[in-house]
Amino acid sequence: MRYFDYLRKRIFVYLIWGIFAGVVISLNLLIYRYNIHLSEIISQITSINTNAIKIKQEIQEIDAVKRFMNEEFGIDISRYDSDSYLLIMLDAMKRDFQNAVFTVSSPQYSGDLEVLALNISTTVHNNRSILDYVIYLDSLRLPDFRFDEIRLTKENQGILMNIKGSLILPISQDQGASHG
Amino acid sequence: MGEILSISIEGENAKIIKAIRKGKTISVSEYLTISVAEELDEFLAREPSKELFVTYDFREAFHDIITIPLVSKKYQKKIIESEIRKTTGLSQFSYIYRPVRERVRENKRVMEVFFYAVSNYAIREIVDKFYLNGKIIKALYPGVFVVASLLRDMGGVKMGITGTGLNKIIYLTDEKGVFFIRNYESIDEELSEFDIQNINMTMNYCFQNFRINPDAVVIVGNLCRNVTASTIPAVPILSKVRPSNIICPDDRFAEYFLPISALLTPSNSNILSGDYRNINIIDHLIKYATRTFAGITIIGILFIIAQAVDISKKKDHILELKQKNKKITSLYREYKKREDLLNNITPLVNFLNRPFDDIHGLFTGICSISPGNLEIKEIHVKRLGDHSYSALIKGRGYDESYSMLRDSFTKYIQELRSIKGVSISSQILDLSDRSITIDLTYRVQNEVF
Repeated sequence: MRYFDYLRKRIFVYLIWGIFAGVVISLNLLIYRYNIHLSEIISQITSINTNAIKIKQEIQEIDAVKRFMNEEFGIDISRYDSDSYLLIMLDAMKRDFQNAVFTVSSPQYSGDLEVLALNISTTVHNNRSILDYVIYLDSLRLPDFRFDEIRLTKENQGILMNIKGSLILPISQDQGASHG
Repeated sequence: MGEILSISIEGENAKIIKAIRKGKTISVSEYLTISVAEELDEFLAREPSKELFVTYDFREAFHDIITIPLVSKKYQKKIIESEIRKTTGLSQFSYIYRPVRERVRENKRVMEVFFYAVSNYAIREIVDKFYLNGKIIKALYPGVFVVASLLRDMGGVKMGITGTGLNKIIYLTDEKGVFFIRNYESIDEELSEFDIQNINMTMNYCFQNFRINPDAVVIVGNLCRNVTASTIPAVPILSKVRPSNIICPDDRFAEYFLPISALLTPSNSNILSGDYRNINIIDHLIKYATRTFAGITIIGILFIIAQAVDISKKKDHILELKQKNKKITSLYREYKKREDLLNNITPLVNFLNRPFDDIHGLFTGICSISPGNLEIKEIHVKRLGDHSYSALIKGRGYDESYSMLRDSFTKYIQELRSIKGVSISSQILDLSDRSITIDLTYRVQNEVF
């Protein structure tokens, strides 16, 4: 007895519904994934919107720092170069300490810093002058002056002051790459 | 519960009823009598009900009482099947059986079993008509078993007479069902003298063979109204009236008692062959699987619609967000421009944020101390490491007395100690040449720019 002869119609209907169900399930999966994808896009765009506020704040901060650098140190950040700035500052020091003898060696690079070793010799006549030199050098921030040695020796004609130290300045990232 | 369709094929006619079952109550709603040859196929084609009960009086049915050895129920069925095969000579058949009684024969305990068998070919001739019209037969009952099922609730052993046209059947039944059947051809469709004689003869036969006498002879249906016999059988003759759980007019019950009673007939009277039962099972499985698929499809489509609505909303939302984000592009360009600037600023800011080694605190302190009668000849400050310096102070005292010299030196030392960050490492006052040597360390008081 061939069961198929009796069940042909039902099997046909069963197969048709089976195919429908399969197609609908596949469509569901596709649409579900697409929907999830859209949700991700929305969350990304929303996060971009949130980031926009942060970016705006950051731009303002960068501008503020740029202004500060210019006003406080006379540094134009967009054209910052530690080599030239160091020499400008050295010239300024020489102008300010006209009676001092400056001995300078070549700049050295140590990590992300440029170091210019410096020896300042001068004769001062009172404590006030000593403090003027020390406070002046101490107050330097860009570049920073690092004292290695200060020797004060009383002589007949005054106090011989010998300062050994170095001017230190961070190098820009472009310079860092070139100095390797 | 939906309507149940029941068909009884009686001679050339098919009697059809539709009923609703509520618990044990059958409520008949439709009655129809059609010609089997001319109208049945058409009826089956247009009838929406898929499942039905069929009652049929098989003319080529085999029924008898066989004797089998007493065995466990596990083997009983196989032995009965084998015995039926031997008795009837049928190779493929379906059958109904019931054990009648145990006996001792030749010092052996044996079981007498009544069987009713029909060849599968005969079943197929009836059943195919329905299946090929897309119907499923839930049960196929021989007519005599359907009538007998009506007498069950009467209790005791009853003899019944039924039949279609001239073909009459006398049967013996009790609470467990039919256990004896006799077919004969009557001379009249009504209950005649000839039928009464046959009833009496059958009763005698049963008494001789089973030692059983029925309590009464029961007639059902239209036969109750068509009695022409003037004599009565040896036991009372009763008419079976409509049971209270069957709701229909009495005259309808008399005419349609077979298709109606089929709905109350126990399932062990179903003679549908194994193949059709298998088809029924497969059909049920396919039906439920199809319904499941249909359900999944409908739910899936609803889900797709819901998702589509959601997607459309999200797309609109994305468009809205994109409009807002147009400003971001220019903002981002501005930020990109400043990115190089940031590369230059970062090291400078980090540099400014680090602690500075300011030494002016030490010098301000030393220079502000009045040495009195001491003369400071040399101050030598050297870096010791990060944030700390050593200082060597040399000089000479000019006091007249040693004690005054000592006082001046002590005072100078005390003043040096008062400078923040200073700790004296050694202090030497050499009285021989009045020289002083002071060794101190200075710890930078960290300042951040």
